[in-house]
Amino acid sequence: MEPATQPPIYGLMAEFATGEALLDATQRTSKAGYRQMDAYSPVPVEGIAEAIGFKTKLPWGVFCGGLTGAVFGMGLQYWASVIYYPMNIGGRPMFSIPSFIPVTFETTVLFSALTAVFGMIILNKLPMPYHPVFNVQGFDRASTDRYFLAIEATDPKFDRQRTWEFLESLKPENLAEVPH
Amino acid sequence: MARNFNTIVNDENVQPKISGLQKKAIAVAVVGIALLVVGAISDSDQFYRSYLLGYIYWVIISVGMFALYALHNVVSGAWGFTIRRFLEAGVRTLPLMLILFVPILFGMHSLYEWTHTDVVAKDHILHQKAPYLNETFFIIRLVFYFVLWSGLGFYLMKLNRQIEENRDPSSLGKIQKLSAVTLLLIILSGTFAAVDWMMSLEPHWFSTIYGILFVSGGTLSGLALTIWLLVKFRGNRPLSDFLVPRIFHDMGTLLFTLTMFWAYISFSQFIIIWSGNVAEETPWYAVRMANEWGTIGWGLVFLHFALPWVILLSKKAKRNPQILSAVAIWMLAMRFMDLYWLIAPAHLRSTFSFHWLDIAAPLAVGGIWMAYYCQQLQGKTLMTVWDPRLQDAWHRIGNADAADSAYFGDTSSVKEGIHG
Repeated sequence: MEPATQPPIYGLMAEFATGEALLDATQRTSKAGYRQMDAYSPVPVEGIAEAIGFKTKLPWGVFCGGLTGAVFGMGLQYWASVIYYPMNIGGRPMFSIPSFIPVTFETTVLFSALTAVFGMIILNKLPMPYHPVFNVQGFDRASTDRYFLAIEATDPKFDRQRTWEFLESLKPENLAEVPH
Repeated sequence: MARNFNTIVNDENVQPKISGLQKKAIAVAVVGIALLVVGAISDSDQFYRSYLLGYIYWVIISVGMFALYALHNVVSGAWGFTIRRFLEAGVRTLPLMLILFVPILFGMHSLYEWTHTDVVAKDHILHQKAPYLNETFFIIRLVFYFVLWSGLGFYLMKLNRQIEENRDPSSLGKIQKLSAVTLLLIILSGTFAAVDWMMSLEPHWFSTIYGILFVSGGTLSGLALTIWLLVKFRGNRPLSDFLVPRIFHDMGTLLFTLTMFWAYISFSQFIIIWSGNVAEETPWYAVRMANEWGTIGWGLVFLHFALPWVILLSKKAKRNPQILSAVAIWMLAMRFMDLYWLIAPAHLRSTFSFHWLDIAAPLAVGGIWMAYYCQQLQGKTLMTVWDPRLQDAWHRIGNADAADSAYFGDTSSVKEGIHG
């Protein structure tokens, strides 16, 4: 078949039986020079994020969220206790930092956690009603007992024929094209 | 293609080169003891105070290593296997620490107000506390702590050694259960020890969280010293084969956690007493928050907690043995500052001063401790290589680390064959 006549695809997907097989395959794919790939697994596989070259700025976002929370918590208490409703409690100074620490700590944790959750949702572009990987037969097992590795067509090294052969060399349980 | 653990023992039975450190420790001990003798003759009160500080500094390292050893037996992560020998040697220093307590027994009258019968007779509160705070019961408890710790520690080591020597994993469950109980007992007995040795320096004052502060601070000290030793001896085989960056990462995370825990407990004690603002509790902090003591207190917030905390946030710092070791050494220095701030104001009250014996005593006790410790470390490989849990732990960490290293580019430290 002529390449030109084939419809464009999202990528190629290999199916593995264990997390270790997936990790090994992902590492070899990375070593072969592929960068645009994603791994799908029903359970966390330690090391897989690093293996697919997953990089995220989320930790910095969470750090800034935490800082904002700290400033907010301290500021709120300062405003309430010093400016808006100053009250003498046991002769302590209005701006009593020690008693403000627990609340500041809590707002720091709260803002960090919320930034982490919503940052994750936004960076993952969720909610996403459609994704091509679900076109692959049997992909639903990615949420029960199968491990998948997809090399995406946007990868500069991607070549329908050679990438297929490469993935075949990784001895997957199944290999399929991912239609758009 | 898993690593053959059995062959490593046979062809890599390399003796670790510990004698260098031991010689240095002996030299420090000799100089330190000479200085202590001079100090004891010239100013016996100051000698006892400084000796107590030096003793506490090191005894909590022994107890902390014991706690980490029990923790390792319970959770058996890969990190624990790389430091098990260092922790076991720490547990073996416990009987030594009982002997090193003797000078404090001679100085009890000088250190502890509640040993003065005339003071107790006039003081209602001390009189009420006398059934607990008296010299006989103090010594009975002292012996009890060390019998308990050494007994549990040596028994656990015996069980682990039997597993290694007989290659018989049948007592693993027993070790795990007993270690869990041990952790609990360390915290309970550590609380009493902290009350006896440190809190009773100011016998009117009380804080129920003080024991956890003592044990968590000790575990932090013990871990910091262990990390320093691990980095120092990381070139020894077979230890070197297992020290992938992930191990340092885990050690760094544990150091980070304990630093936070120490800060959390310290602040908890402070906020409770500060909020309560009652007359029998606040003087303790009033003294420690004024003048130079206050400066040290603020120093603890920033240098004992904030600085190492920020450094250890970074994944790269935790995975770099040099940076990790530097943080550990910093931590050990900060532990001294913390203990000085806790102990010294008991006698000095609001006048700040620092005696040269306060440096000489920790060095002398530390020299003895380290020389003895090195002796315990001799004669075996620095890494347990036969344990049924090790291979499993390693399989997981090995895989993860290969990926990590490809990501960070520090492939040189990943040894071939660890990951199957």
